[in-house]
Amino acid sequence: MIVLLVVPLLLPWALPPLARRTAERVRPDVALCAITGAAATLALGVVACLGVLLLPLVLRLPLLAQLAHLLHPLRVGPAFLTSAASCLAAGALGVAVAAGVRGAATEVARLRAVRRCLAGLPHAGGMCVLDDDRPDAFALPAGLRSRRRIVVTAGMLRALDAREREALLGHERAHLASRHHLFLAVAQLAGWCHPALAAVVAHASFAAERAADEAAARVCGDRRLTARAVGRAALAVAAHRAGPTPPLFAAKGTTGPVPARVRALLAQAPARRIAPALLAMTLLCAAAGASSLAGALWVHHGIEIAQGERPAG
Amino acid sequence: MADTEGERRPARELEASVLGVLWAAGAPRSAAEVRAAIPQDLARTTVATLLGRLCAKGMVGRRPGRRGFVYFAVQDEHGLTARRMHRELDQGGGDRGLVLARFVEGLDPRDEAELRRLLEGGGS
Repeated sequence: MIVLLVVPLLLPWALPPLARRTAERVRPDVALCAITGAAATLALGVVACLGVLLLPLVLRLPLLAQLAHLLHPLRVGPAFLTSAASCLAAGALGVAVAAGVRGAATEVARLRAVRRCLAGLPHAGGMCVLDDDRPDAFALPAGLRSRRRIVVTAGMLRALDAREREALLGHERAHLASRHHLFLAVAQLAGWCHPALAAVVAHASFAAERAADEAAARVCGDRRLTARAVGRAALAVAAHRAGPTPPLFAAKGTTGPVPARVRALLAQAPARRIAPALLAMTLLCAAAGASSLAGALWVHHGIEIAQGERPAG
Repeated sequence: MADTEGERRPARELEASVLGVLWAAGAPRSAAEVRAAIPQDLARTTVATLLGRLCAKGMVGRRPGRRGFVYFAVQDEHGLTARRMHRELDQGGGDRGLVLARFVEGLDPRDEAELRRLLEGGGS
């Protein structure tokens, strides 16, 4: 029966290929919601199952067993198997919590540092310009005491023509208006819970970029122009980097996210809302939920027996 | 004011466009030149208002030119903020995290070749 609690730990491995197909084929704003939602659900399942698996180990401590009013030792399966699973769960939970705390601290510190830099800088319509030749642009979400900002370097503004600059601004405004940072934060949190979900983060990020690209294309009324803005900005960044570029991913058969974004913009607007991948993701989440629920009920049953509220058997 | 397409866009957004023109130009521009350079179709008075607002914020400076004023982007203390910002962002080996994702990034030589092909093939 312990298998019920292990299944939700294995199901996340099925999400990365589904997320990839969703990010490529479904309308990007829908895809971003779906991928983030599925990752969050599966992560919750993982954490819940690890927590429940931990119980047999925790309830072996006399003090805690007393607190839980256990009259007999908790028996939820072969003793050896239960202890092994419990110990592994404890280790996995520890690793996940450590990764989450460390990652979140880094992310918050980085946001704070950037906000501190921008604190005194004037802005034009939410845009701050940095006097820097390196082409760069990003959207800084609002903080507790700071407003949201679009940060662009002089190098980026010079690399694009006037209409392409409008596409760039439209892209960054879309990130801020649709609060993509919240989706990405959730996806990243889920990624820290499980190695398979960590692989999903890149797909969520791609969906967010695509959603912003589509919004920019709507504002400009020109998909081709937006494609050119994305492509020329990327080439400007690459040209400015000193020396040969270190390959980010060891040479694979496919190209990275920027050419994929440009290709998608040069093609027709994505219209499909529902794809088989979306349905499969829903099923995956439902399976993880059902399995962890059944596993938890079963452990609960074991605890009731140990409390003497139910006869064993 | 004339009821042109650009007029209906929020004034805040137009400020960013005007500032972008001056930064990209890298040299002083007259109000008429700015008006010609932005893609939105704006009335002359609107451009003057936008430039005046940017001057008041200290983001744009102006000086007398041959005909009226010419305007230029004001650099913040020799790129001090820019340098500080990049120092902060470069800590951690250029990893910017997800939330501060760049407009574009991650271009390896294969991407670059593919991108040039796409832009040449479909860019016309």
